Amino acid sequence: MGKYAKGIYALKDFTTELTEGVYGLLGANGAGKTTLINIFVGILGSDSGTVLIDGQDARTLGKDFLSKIGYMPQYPFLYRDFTVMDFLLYMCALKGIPDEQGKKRALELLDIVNLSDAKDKKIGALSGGMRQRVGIVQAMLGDPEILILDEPTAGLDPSERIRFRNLISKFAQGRTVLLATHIVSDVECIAKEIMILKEGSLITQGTTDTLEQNIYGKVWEVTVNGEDAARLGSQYYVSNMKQQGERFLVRIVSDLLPASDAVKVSPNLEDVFLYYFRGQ
Amino acid sequence: MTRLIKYEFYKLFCKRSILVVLILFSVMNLFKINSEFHSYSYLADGNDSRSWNSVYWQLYEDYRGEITAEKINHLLSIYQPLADATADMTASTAKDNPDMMTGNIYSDRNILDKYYVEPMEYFYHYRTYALQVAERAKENAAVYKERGQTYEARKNSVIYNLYSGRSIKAFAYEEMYNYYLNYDFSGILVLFLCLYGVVSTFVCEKETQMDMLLLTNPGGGKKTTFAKIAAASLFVISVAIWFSVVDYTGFAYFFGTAEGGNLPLYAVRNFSTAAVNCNLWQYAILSAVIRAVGVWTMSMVFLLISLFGHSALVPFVADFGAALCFIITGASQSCFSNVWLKIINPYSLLANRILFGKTEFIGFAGYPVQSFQAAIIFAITVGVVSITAMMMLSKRNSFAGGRRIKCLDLCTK
Amino acid sequence: MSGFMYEVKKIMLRQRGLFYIALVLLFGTVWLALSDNPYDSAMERYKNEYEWYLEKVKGYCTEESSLYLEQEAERIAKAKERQNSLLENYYDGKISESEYKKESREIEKVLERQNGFEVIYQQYLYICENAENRCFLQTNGWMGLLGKGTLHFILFLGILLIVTPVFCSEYSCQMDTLILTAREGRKSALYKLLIITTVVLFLSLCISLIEYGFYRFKYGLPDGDYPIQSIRYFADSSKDMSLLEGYVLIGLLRMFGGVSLTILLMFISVLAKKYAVTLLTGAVSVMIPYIGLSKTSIYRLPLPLPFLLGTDFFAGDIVMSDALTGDEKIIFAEVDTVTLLTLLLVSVLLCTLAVVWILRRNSNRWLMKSGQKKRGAVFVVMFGLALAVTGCSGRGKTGSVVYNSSAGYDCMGYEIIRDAGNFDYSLKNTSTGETYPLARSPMFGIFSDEEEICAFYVCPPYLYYTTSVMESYVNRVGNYNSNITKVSVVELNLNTFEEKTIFEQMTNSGRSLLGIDYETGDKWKFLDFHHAFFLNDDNLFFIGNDGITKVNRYTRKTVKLDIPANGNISFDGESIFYKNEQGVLTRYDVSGNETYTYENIVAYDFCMDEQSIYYISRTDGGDLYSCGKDGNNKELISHIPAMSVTCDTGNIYVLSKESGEEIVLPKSHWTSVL
Repeated sequence: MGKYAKGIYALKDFTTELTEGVYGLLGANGAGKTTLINIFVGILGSDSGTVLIDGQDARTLGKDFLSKIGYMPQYPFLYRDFTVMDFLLYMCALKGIPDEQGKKRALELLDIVNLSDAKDKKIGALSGGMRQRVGIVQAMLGDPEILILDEPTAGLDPSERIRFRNLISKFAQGRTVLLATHIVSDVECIAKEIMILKEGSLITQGTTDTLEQNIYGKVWEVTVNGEDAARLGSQYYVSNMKQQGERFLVRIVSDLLPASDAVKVSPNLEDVFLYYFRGQ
Repeated sequence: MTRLIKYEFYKLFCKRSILVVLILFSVMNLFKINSEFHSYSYLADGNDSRSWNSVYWQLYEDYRGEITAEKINHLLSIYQPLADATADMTASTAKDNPDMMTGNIYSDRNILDKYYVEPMEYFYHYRTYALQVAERAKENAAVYKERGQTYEARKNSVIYNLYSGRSIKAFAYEEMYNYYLNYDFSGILVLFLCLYGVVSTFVCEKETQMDMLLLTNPGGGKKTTFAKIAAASLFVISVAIWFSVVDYTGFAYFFGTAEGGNLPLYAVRNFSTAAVNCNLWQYAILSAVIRAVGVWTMSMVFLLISLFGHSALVPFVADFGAALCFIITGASQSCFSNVWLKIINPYSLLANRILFGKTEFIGFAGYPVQSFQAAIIFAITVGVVSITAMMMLSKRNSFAGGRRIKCLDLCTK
Repeated sequence: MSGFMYEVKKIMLRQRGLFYIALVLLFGTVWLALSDNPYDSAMERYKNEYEWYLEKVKGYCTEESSLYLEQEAERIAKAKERQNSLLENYYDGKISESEYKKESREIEKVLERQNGFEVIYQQYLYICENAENRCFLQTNGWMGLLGKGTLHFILFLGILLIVTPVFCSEYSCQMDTLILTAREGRKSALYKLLIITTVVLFLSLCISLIEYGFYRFKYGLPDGDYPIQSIRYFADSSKDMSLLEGYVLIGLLRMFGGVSLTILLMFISVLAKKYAVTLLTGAVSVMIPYIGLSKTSIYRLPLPLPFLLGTDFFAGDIVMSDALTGDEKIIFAEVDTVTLLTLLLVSVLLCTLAVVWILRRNSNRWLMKSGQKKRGAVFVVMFGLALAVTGCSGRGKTGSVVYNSSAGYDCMGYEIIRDAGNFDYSLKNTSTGETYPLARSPMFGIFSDEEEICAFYVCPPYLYYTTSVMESYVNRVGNYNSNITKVSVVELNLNTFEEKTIFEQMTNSGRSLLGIDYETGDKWKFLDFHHAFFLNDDNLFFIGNDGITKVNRYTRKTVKLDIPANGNISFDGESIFYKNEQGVLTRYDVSGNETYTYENIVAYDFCMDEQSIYYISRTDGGDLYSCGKDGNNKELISHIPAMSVTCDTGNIYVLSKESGEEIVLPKSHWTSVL
């Protein structure tokens, strides 16, 4: 798929194949994650390419394609005046789910996301985390084969974020989940594969291990004094700096040995992210 | 503060949509001015040598400037025979008479009558009319003084002073100014544009939840509110002045001249009892300023209303409805002598001939105040009260004192 | 609940659609009731008499009906003449009472419906101009229903309020993306369009029906099958349609106007996604052409405005004569059927394109056949719109004083004098001889020959006078739509010489309010012809040649009183005294609206003061009598046959029938004259 707008490629020759499991779509801000998702879910039209589901073009599938996907946008404001239940039933109507069935499904999902007590509350009165949970519930209403989540944990506190991650894992069983984020920890544990998107192009895709393996030998750790730590910080891409008494343990992503006493260490996903987005 | 006002101005009004509307309205305005010329001026009949336009400007050189007995006699020597010949309507209706300036005797009589005899007669006699008013006012002042009517005596003294020196000494083309001074359309455009501009001033911050963010900054709250008001004021005043400039330029362009600017305001018949003694070009400037005051007042009221809206919908419709009421009542009351209704309606400042076309007074503590002065004072008062209300009603940081933010507002954001 | 019902619930309840609908209908009805005035007030006032004649000539003007009306006109003229001579003969003793009564009855029979006849005769004259397509019918209802070319502002504001949030609210809470990705998301936009269109159609229909019901109830809407030209608004129309057809078609056009405005608003809201832009565009697209363009141009634009107005699609040319050159100028050029259909077609096409575009914009891209055609459609809609746009006083202070319309004025030591040269009125102090201009404004009458004093009424310490002025709203060539005639009642305090205007009214309709024709109808026409007036705390009474009209000072309600104005009219603050058609003195109580006839007083003329009525008895050969206000205590004052009588504070003035001289009878000494 490709999308060209205002003189730049928002998405360039993006091709991938997704099967069951969670796929993390990592990229810096403006890398094209939302464009990709918007094209995927049909909010935006693509200039080239298409989406194939089991070999069938999404255009041919038409409405059936939409039945197969569940989508949760970034910062869903939703209808402030609607109660949670009213809103979910409205979404059921939009998704073509019969009323009774929709009600049952909504209650089940609300129970899963621990929002049963809030079903009669107005959406405007919910906290950010609760609203995000309503967002994922609406996406799950049609029991979709593909779940597309655009930065679902943005703006959530740590406990809500963990809760949300667990929910995604729970909902991922038996379906494909495409999770776009720039928060590495969101996908590190739960993603089957990670796709890294940079300037509209897919630059790499693979499991966490594979990606980490790909940059093995390019992550270093060195213990230095404060002055040297500052110097290293200005010369290299530092993925972490930890104070240990008077000295600092500095983790560096570099193709070259940053210091004579630096030691190679195993990369993690944050190192991978930093490696690919150096300079951005 | 200046920086804050600059940013607010940039944020709220330097938008593409406002620029597009401004350009579109300016073009519409020019179209309308052009249509005024073509619909209402006999001189819009082209540049043919026998057209009224050509004939008028040929004759103009002979009669422009100081009104003298020679000029009047000369004019009457041409006009009177034509008038006599056409009085019984039995003259030739030929349109190609070579002896006639326009090719037709009736047409010659009409152009002279409409553009020279009538205005010259009015100009010439104005001094006598004004003197009569001054004399009556002087007599009235004495009668009222005798009867202990201080207010009436003072009022008549003001009238005396206003009219005693009035005269129109020179003849000039005043048609362009006649239509310019009676042109209201741009006022409505200004109102619409200002309504659009100011209605989102507060609403925009609410929609983007910036109001909460602003509250947490030292420059937020009261300062930002003031900056917004100042930026909105700057915007509406600029727009009003821009359209006044477009009006004047447009009229001068389409009528092909700005001649007559040095004539006194009362040279235009609608302004025979004008409330001020100034030249037409001076009045054009005064009118632009007064219009800006009227637009500013209405905009401050619009702004106050928009403070209560969460989206632009209800404030816009409420403001639009209020604007329509102001316009319709203002326009329909313009011919009546209820001075108070004119004073309290800011539309009178927009179409300010309502106030300046007639010498009208209201009494204040026994002193006569001219209607336009009272309207300006009232408008500024309403504007200031609206600003004060906005400053008092706008949200403040609870540590900064004043009104606390409602718990519900924070919970639901 | 289905998706459709959810959309209904969202629009009607969450977005307060129902509330706004109720508000529009409520305010629309209240405004209609408050602002309505009958187009032809005489037709309403003399309804029964008019309808009596109408029954006889209803329909097209035939030779028989024409002959009947001409004969009836002659019969009435003769009867009036005969009535005068009969009365003279009776009081002169030439005929007996029984003869008089017998003939009077016959004459009264002829004259009993003369007011109604005048109305129908005026209608007859109108019909004669083009008898082929004009009929006799009750026109007030139809004129009210169809003869309004103004915008329904309440409906317009209602549409703005109801339509704007439909899409804008989705964008403001970012629900649009969720709806787009839902299986039935596309239907959501379609449902919205359907619901809103239905709501607007319903609103327009309700307003049309309310108007129909209102005019049917108030005036009646008979004979809907008569040609539309039967009412003056459509006088020169070339359209071949009946009144009912006209109503239906105008109603349908207005409904279409509402729908096209709705679609325009939706189009803008989907395009701009912002409330303010949508509202501004909606307001400007209607108001700017309404104010800025001529009627002829408006009715040639494929915008919602001409359809929202509707009426003038079926009106004929309006031609006015240029005041200077005498050339005829077309103020409004009739819209021919081809133009109307073309305009309708273009508008329908634009609406269709806009709807298609709205639906496409609200469709998931995977459900679209082609993504490229949209630009073409948007371009066409935008181009179409661009083309369309570029075508582009203190209560209770009036004291009690006896007024006699034929008498002079007792102005607290002042005399009203009129300058024979310039016709200016002055006040002359009778003791000092000083004169003061009556109108206190130094500017009065100086700059306009048309500004003049019409009538006076004295109620010490106030002198009231009426002024009439013709002002040029704008000194415009041709003078059409630029002049107003205004009548004012001014109160002058004779002690302090303070004056203020207590009543003002525009009497003619030749005025344009910001480009919108401002009609005053014929309601205030009587003011142009009044020659005397009097007042009390609540009402003003204007005396014209055809009678007295009462005007409520606060509500401005006018009532034509059934009082002939052919002799003296007296008013004591509570009752009006006058001679009826038979010369019998009659009293009309203004607060109770009751009439009392003094059967024993048949007068040539009369006048009255605070205590007594002085009258020249017709039955006693012109002797002068006095009596109390109740008609009792009749006393003879003078045997000298008199023609007329007036009085002031101290004297009675009698015009001798024989000598033609005025005889002054001091009230304190009149007994000595006997």
